[in-house]
Amino acid sequence: MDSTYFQYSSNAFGIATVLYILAMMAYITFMVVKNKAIGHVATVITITGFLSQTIAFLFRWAAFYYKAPDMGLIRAIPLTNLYESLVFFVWSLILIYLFIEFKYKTQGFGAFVTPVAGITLAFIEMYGISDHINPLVPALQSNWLLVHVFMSFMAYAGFAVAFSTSLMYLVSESRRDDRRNAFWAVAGTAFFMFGLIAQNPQSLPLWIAGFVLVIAVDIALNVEIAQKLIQGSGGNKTKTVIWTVALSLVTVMAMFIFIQLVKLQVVKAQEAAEIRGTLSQMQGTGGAPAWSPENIKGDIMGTIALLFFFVVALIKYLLLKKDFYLFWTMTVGAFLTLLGAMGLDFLLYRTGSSGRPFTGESVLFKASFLSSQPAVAVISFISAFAIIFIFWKYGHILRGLIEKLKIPSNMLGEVTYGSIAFGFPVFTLGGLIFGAIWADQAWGVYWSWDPKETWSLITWFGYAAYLHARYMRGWKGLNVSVLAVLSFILVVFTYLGVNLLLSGLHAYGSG
Amino acid sequence: MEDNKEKTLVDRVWDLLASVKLAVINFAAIAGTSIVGTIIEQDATREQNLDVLAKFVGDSMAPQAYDFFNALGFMDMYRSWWFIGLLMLFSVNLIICSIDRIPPAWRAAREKMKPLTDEQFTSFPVKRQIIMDGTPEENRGLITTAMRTAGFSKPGGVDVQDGYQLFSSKHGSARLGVYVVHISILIIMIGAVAGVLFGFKGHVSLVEGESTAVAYKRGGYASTQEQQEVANTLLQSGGNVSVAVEQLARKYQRTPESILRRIRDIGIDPLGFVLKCDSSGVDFYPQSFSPKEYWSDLSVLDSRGNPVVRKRIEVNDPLKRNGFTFYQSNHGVQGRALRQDTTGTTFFGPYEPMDHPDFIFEVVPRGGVSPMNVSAKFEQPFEIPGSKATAVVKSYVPTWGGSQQQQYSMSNLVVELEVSDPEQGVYSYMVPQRSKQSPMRDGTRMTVKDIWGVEYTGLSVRRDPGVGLVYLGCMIMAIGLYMTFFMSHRRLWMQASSAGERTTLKIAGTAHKHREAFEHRVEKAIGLLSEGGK
Repeated sequence: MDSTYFQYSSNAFGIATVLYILAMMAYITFMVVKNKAIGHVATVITITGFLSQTIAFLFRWAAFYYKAPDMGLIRAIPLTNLYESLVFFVWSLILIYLFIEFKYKTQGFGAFVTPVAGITLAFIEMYGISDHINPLVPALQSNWLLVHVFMSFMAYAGFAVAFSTSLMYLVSESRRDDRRNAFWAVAGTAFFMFGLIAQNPQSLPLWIAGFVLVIAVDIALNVEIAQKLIQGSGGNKTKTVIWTVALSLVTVMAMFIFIQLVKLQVVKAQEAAEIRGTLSQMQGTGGAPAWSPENIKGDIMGTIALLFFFVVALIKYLLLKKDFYLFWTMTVGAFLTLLGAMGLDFLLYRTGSSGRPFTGESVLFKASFLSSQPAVAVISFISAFAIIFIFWKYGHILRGLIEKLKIPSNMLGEVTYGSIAFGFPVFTLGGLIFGAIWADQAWGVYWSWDPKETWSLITWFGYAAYLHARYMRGWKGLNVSVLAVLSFILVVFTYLGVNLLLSGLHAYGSG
Repeated sequence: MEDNKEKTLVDRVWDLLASVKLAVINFAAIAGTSIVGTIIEQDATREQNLDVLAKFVGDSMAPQAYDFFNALGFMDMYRSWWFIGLLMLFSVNLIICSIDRIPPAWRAAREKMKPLTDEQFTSFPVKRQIIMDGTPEENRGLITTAMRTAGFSKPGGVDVQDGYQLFSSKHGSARLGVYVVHISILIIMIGAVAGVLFGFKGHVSLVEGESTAVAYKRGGYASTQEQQEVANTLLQSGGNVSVAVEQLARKYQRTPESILRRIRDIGIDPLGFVLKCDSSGVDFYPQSFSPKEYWSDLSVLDSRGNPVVRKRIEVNDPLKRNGFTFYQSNHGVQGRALRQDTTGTTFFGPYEPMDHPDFIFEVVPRGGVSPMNVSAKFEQPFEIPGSKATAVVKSYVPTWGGSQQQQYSMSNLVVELEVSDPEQGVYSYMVPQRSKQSPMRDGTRMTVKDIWGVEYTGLSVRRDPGVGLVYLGCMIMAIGLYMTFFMSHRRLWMQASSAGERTTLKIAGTAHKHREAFEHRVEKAIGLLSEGGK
C-alpha cells in the first residue's frame, strides 16, 4: 500500500513542478506584456499546482505512515529529510505568495517570487536529491519535529518573499551610476584571468599575474577607504599610507585564516563521512559530499584564495560607492544565471530519462561551470559576466516594467516589512526556541553551538539587524533592502550550506 | 564648568550604550565571529586539533598553527574572553537601551484618553465624517454598538456642545512588547550563565551489566588511575558521596573539602547514587540497516544493590534522578579482534572478563516447530538442545558484510561456532541473527538472539540549575513577540453632534501597527451605521 501512495505522491509532485515552472513563465510574461488575462492564467496555474502539491504531500504522509504504522500518524509527517524539507519550503512559499497576491490584488510580485520556487525545484532535480521515504532515525522520533520544522519553513518562506520584494524595491529606487568604466574593466580582466588560470592551472606566471591583479585592486580600494576614514581629521599622506598598509595586512591575514579554516573543515567532513561509513548511502539520503581531501590540491586552494580577494574587493567597492544599483544587478544577474545553468543541466542530462533513476548523482552545473570540458567552463564564466553586465546596462528596462505594474515603492517596503514581521517571530519561536527545547529533551543540551544552531542564530541576528536598522537615520529605504537580501542569503546557507558543507548533529543532508 | 564636561561624557557614553547603532554593530560582530566558530570544531582536545592541522601544515608547523589559533581564542571560541566580552557588551546595550526607552513607552501605553477638539478630528490618519438620521441621543445605542464592532467594548464618554463624544483605547501594552522581548533575552542569558557556572555536562559509558556512581566531563569512562580510584571508591560506597570522600580523606591525609575539589578538577561529578545498565540494544527497521530505536534498560540501585527504579530510556525519552538527567546518546559493540579472513572480515572476541558475555541462541531442532533457547559463554562447550551435537563459541562479527566502521554496531550479527557432532564430525558453523542461513549438518536451525554483555551504551549526563530560567525566558519571549508583532495600540474617537433633526458623526482613529486592518474594521463599523441609521 505504501508504494502505491508513494507513486501517487511522486506523480502529483511531478505535475505540481511542471505547473510551477509554467506559472513562473506566465508571471514573467505578465510583467512584460501586462495582459490581464495572462495574469489571471498565471494565478490559476499557481493555484492548481499548489493543490496538486498538497495532494502529493498528503499521499506521501500516508505512504510514510503505512511503512511503520506503529509510529502513529503525527510521527509520519513527511518533513524528515532534505528532499521533503525543500519541497515543503516551495509549498510554504507558494502559500504565502498566494496570500499576498490575494491581499494586494496584484500579480505583480509573481515574476520575482515564483523564480525562487523555480530555482529550488531545479536544484532538487539537478543535485539528484533522493525522494525515497526513509524510516525515521531515533533522533527524529519526536512530536517536536512537526512544530519545529513546520514553523521554520513558514518563516523561511516569509523571508524569501521579503528577499524578492526588497529586490524589486532596489530595482525601482536605485539608479545607474555611469562612472563604472574602471570597475567593469577591472572586473572583466579579473574574470578573463580566472578563465585562463582555470584552463592552465599549471602555469605559474598566470597564477602570479592573477594574484598581482587582485592584490593591486585591493590596495587601490584600501587607499580610497583610508582616505575616507581620515577625512574628518584632515587628510595627511603618512596617515593614508599607514591605514592602507593596515587594511591590506588585515585582508591578507583574513585570507590565510580563511584558507586554513576551509582546509580544516574539509578534513573533518571527510573523517565524519568515513566514520559513518556506507550507512548514509543505505539510508539513501543522496548527494555525494561536496568536498573531499582529493580536491585539496594546490590549485583549488589557490582558486579559493583568489576568489576570497575578489569577493572582499567587491564588497569594499560596493560599500565605498554605496552602489545599490550595481548590487541588485549582480544579485539578479547571478540568480538568473544560476537558474539558466540549471535549465541547461536539465536539457542536457535529465530529458529522456523516465522516472528518477538518477538518485544520488548530481549534475548540478555540469552543463556549464563544472563541465568536464574546460572550454565550456570558461565560456560559462564569461557568459555569466556578460549577463550581469547586460543587466547593469539595461536595468532601467526592468525598472520600467515594475513601474508599469503600478506597485508603489512604499507598498514594496510594506510587503517586505510585513513578511519579515511575520517570519521573524515565527522563526524565533518555532525555529530557535522550539529547536532548543527539542534539543534539551533529546540530548540534554538546549544550545551546543552546533553549526546548524549557530547559523540559525546568525540568520536571526541578520533579520534583527533589519528590524532595528529601520530606526536608524537614513536606513529606511535602500539600505534595509540590502539587509533583507543579504539576510536571505544567510537563510540559504543555514538551510542548505550547513547540511551540504558542514558537519553536525542535525539529521538532514549527507551528514 | 568641569561638572558640565563630565556630565556630557557620561551622557555621551550612555547614549552610545543605548543606541540602536551599537545594537546593529553588535549583531554583526556576534554573527560574524560565530560564523568562524562553526567552521572550526570547538572544544576538541589539543591532540585532536594537532592531528588535523598536521595534515596540512605538516607536523612541525602544526603546534605553531594551533598556538596561533589558540591565542586568538579560536579553539574554544564561544568561551574565549573576546566572545564573552561581545556578549557582555550586547547585554549592557540591551539593558541600557531598555532603561532609556521604557519610561516614555510606558507613559504612551498608559496615557489616559482625552476628548478631541473639532480641529483634532481632521488631523488623524484615520478620519471620517457621516450624517445620520435622528438626534444624537437617539443614535447613542447604534454608535456605541459601532464602537464595539470596531473592537472597543466599553468606551468612555463626555458631553460636548450639541452632543457627546465616545472614545476608547486598546492594547496600549503593545508598545511595551519590544522591551518584554529584550528582558526575556536577558533572563535567558542569566539562565545560560547559571547553567555554565553551576551545572554539569558530561557522559558515562556502560557495558551491559556495568554500574557507575559517577559521570565524566570528558570521555565517558575513567582514563587515568586517579579517576579509576575515585570511581571505584564511590561505587563501593553505594554512591554515598560523604562516605567515599571520608575514606579518601583518611587514605590521603587531606580534608574532605580538598578531596571534593580534586574530584571535580579531574572531571568527575559524583551522581549520589548507583546507576546500572541492565541491557542495551538497537532495534532495526525490518529488512534494513536503518536504526529504529536505540534503547537502554537502566536501574537505580540502593545502598544494598537492589533496584529502586527501572526505566528503558530511548532517544527523546531520558531518565531523571537526583537533579541529573540521562539521555540515550550513542551505542556500540565492543570486541577484541581475533583474526581476519581472506575476504577481509574481522572476527571478534570479547574483552576481559571473557566469561561475562552471554551468547543467547534460539534453536529449532530438525523436524521440530517450537524454538528453544540456550545460552553459552565464550570458548566454553555447550549442548545444543534437540541435537546430539555440542558447540563452542569461537568468535563473532557484529556486522557481516560491512566495513570496519560498521562493526561498531550489531546490524547483521553472525556468531562463529565450532560444532562437534558424533555423526557429522567437527565443523565450523556461522549462526546469523537477521539473515537467512542453511541449517546445521544434522538439520537443526539456529539463530543468535543477542550477545548480552558486549554492547555498551553512551549516556549523555546533564545537570543544569539554569534550565528553568531559560524555559521561563522563552515563554516570556513568546509573549513579547506576540505583543510586538501581532498587537497594536489602537485608539478611536466618535463625536455625535446635532445638525438640525439629524446627527453629524465625526470619527478619528489611530493604530501604531497594522493600520489598514484597523481602518478596515472602522470602515465596517461605519458601514453598519450608514445602513442602520435612517
